[in-house]
Amino acid sequence: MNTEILRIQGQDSKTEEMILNLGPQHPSTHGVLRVILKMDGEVITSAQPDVGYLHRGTEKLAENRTYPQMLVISDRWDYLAAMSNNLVWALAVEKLMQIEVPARGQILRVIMVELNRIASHLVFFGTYGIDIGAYTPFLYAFREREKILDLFEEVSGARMTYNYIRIGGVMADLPKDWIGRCRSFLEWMKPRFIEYDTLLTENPIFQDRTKNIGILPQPLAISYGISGPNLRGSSYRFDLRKDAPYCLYEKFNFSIPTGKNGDCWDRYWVRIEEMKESVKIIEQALDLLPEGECNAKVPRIIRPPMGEVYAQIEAPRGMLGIYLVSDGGDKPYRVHVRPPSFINLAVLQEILVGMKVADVIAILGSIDIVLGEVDR
Amino acid sequence: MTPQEMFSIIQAQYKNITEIPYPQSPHAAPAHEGKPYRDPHLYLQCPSELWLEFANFLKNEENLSFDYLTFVTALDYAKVNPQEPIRIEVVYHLYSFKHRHSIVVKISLQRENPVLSSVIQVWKTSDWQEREVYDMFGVKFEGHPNCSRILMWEGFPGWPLRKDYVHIPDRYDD
Amino acid sequence: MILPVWNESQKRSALILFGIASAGAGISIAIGEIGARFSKIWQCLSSFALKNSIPTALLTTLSMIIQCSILIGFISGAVMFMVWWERKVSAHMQNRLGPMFTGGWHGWAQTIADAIKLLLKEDIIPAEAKPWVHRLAPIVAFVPAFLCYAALPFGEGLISADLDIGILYIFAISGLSVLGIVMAGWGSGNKYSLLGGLRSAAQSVSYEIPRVLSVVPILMMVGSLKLTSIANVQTGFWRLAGIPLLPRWFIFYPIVGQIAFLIFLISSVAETNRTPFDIAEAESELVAGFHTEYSGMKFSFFFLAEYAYVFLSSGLTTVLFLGGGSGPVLPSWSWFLLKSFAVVFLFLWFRWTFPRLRVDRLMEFTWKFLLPWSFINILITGFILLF
Repeated sequence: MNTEILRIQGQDSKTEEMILNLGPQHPSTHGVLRVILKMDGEVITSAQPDVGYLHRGTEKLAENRTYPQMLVISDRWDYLAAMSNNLVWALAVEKLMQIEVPARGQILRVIMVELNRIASHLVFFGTYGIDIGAYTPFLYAFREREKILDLFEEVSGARMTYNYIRIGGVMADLPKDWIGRCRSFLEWMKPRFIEYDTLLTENPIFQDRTKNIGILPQPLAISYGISGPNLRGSSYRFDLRKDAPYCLYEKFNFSIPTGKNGDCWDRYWVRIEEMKESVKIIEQALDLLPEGECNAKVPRIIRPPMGEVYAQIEAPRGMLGIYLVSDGGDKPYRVHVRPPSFINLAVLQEILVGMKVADVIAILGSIDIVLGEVDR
Repeated sequence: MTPQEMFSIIQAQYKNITEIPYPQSPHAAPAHEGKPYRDPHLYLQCPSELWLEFANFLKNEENLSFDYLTFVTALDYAKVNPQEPIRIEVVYHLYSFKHRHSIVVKISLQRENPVLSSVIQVWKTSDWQEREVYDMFGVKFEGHPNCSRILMWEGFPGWPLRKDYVHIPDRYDD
Repeated sequence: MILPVWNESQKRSALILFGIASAGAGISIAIGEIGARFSKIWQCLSSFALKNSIPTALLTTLSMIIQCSILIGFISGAVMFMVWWERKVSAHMQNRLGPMFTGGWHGWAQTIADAIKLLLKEDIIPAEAKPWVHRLAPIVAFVPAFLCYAALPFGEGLISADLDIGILYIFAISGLSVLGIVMAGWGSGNKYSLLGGLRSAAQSVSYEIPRVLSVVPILMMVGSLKLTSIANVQTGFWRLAGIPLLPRWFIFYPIVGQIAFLIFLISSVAETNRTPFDIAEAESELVAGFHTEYSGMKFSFFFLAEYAYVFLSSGLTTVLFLGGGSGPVLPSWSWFLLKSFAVVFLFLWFRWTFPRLRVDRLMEFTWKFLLPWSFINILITGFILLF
C-alpha cells in the first residue's frame, strides 16, 4: 500500500494537517483509484479522488471502429457487468437505425442482463465483506458467481467479456437445456440469500460499521447526478426499468427496493434486495420466453443515418448511457459514454469530509465503483 | 410537458435561444436510405454568454425544473464535414425528476481557446464532467474551482478528442 | 435438515480421522498418567544422584533444562498443528479445501514448509529503524508466553511450576507482551507501524481489566490462586438421585459461570489480537500493523507468539472454566488437550465468521460493556457466597 505523509503547518501552530495518500495500489479490490485525504488527526478535512489510471481512450478509439467492432470495446467499460454495456451500445445503434428486435431476442437480453446484475452484486457483497473485515462471505459469493459464469460461458463462450448482445439481437440462440440449468441455478440461489442475511446483513458488528456512516442526503444525491442503487439507497425511488422501460421490462412484475436513511447499510441492503428481485425477473422471463427468431435483419455493413441518439439503461452500477452522433458513415462521429461510476465517485469529495479515517473504506466500498467505467 | 410547450416558456424569457431543427437528409446521402434520427426531446442552441443564466432558469422555473444533469460532453466539428460550421459544441443533457421530461442544450464555441461559464453552482455533477470536457477538448470553464485534467496526467500536451489531435511521442512510446 | 451424502474420498477421510482419534485415545490410555511417571523418573534420578554424590544443583539444572525443552517442544508442536488447523478450518468454512499437497495427506506438513520458507527469507531492518529495539521486539513478544506456560497445568502432576499465586503470575507476565508490541511499533521507524502498535497496545491494556476481573468470581469460590486447586475443585459430577447430570465445571455454575466465561473468552480474543479485534493486523484498513517491517525469522517469532498466546488463553479457559483435565476414561492430559483445542477451535471460528470492529467501538465495548458486567458478576458471586 502506498503511503506518504507531508506535514503542513496550519495557521494555528498547534494543529498539523496531514496528507494521506490512499494509493493507486489498494488492498481493497476496487481497482487503481487514488484518494488524497487531508486529515486533522482522525477526522478528514478534504478528500480528492484522483482517477485516470485506467483511461484507455475508448471515446477516441470509437471514432476509428465500426459499430460492431465497438461492441468488443464496450465489454471493457464495466467489466463486471459486461452484458449491460453490450446492451446499451446495441440499444443506441438500434435506436438510431430504427431496428426492432424480435420478442425472443429482447427477453434473452433481459435474462442475460439480470443474471449479470446478480453476478455484479455478488462481487459487491463479497468485496464489501472483505473491506469490513469478514473474509468468508467473499468465497460464498464467488461460489454462486461461478455458477453464473458457467451459464454465461455456455451461452457466449466467455467468462467476463461476453460480447453476446449484438446489434439487432443476440449472438446466437441458447444451447440445449440451458434453460433447465438456469432454473436449477435460481433454485440454488434462493436459499443463499438467507445465508447472506445471517452472515452479514444481520450481523451486529457489520451493522455497527455501516449504519449511520456516509449518509448521502437526497438533494445532494440529485445534485451530484447519482443514479442506481446509491440513489435508491438515499430513498429516491427511480429505476429506469420502471420509469423508462426498455427491452420489454414493462411485462415483468418486480419491485424497486428503496432505502430509508442513505447510509452505507441502506446502499448495501438495496443491492441485496435487487438480487432477489432479479431472480424473480429471470423466472418470469424464462416462463415468458417465446419461440421464434431472436435476431432482426441487420445489414452487413452497419451505416446508421445521420443524427444523434442518447440511450440509457439501468446497469448494476447506475444509469449507463451512450450518446452517439453519427454522420452517415460506418464509423461513429462521436461516442460519449455516460459512466455511472465516474459520476457517483464525485460525491466522495463531499461525504468523506467530517468522517473518520476508519470509515473511508466502508464508504468507498458502498458506492461500488468499477474503475473500468470510471476511466473508460 | 411536450417540447413545444417547453419551448414557448423558454422563448418568452430568452429570445436568443433557438431550437435546433430536426436534421434533414443531406443531398449526398449514403447508400443506406435511412431517414436521419434524433431523440424526441427539445434541442436548443444557446449562446455561450447566456448559458449560466439560462441554466439557473431551467433549474428553478416551476414548469421546467430540470434538477438532474444527465451528462455534459462536447463535439468537435473540424473541417471533417463540409456542411457543418467549424466549432466545438458543448452538449448538456438535462432531466427533470419532477416532470419526467428531458431537454438538450447545445452551446457552440470557437475552436481557438474556447471558454464557457461553469454551471457547477447549479448542478454539482458538472464538477467532474466539465473537467473531462476540459481535459479532452480544451474548453476552459470559468468559475470552476478546479478546472484541471482529470483522466490524462498533469502536463499532457494536446486535447485528445479533438479531430486534429496528433499524438506527440512521449516516454511511453518505444 | 438434509443428511449429507458422502462420496468415496470423504468416507475415506472420515475413516482416517476416526482411526486417528481412536488410536490417539488408545495410546493415551495406554500411556496413562504421565505426571505419575515423571515423578517416578525424578525419584529414580534423585536417588541415583544421592548414591553417587552428584551435587543436587546439577540435578536441578538438568531437570529445568529438560522441562524447558519439553515445553518448547510442546509449544512448537502445538503451534505447528494450530497453523495447519486454522488453514484447514478456514478453508472448509469457506467452501474450499486448504492445504492438500505438502507432505501428502491433506497437507499436514504445510507449517513445516512455511517455517523453512520464513527461515530462508532475507532479514531486513529498515533504515529508519532503531536497530536494537527492532531486533529485541519479537523476543520480548514471545518470551512472556513461554514463561506463562510454566505455570499451566497440563494434567495431573504435569505442571512445571505449581505456584501458589499461579493465576496472578500468568496474568502479570502475559501483560508484558504489550511491551513487545510497542517496541515493534516504535522501533520500526514507520509512523504507521507506530500508530498501529499504539492502537494495539491500547486495546491490549484495556481488555486486560475485564479479563482479570472476570476470573475473580472463580477465585472467590475456590478461595485460592493456585491453578491446580482450581482444576481439582472441578472434578466430579453434580448428581440427581445418583445419576450424574453435569460435570462440576465453573462454566455450568448458574449465571456467574456463564457471564464469567463469556467475558473471559471475549477478552482473550481481544488480547491475542484476533478478529473481530484485529485492527492491528488488518490488511484492508488504512494503517499498517505493527509487524509490517518484519520479515523472515523475526516475523515468524511474532506469528509463533500469537499462536502461543492463543493456546495459552485456551488452556487457561480450560483450567478455569472447563475442568482442565477432569473426565472419565481418558487420562487427564488428553482431556486437557481435547478441551483446549476445542476452545482454540472457537478462536478460529470467530476469526472467519465475524467482521472487524472499528477502533473506537472496540474501546467503547470494553469500557462501557464488559467492565461493568464483570463488576456485576463479582457482586452476584458475593451474594451467592453469602447466602
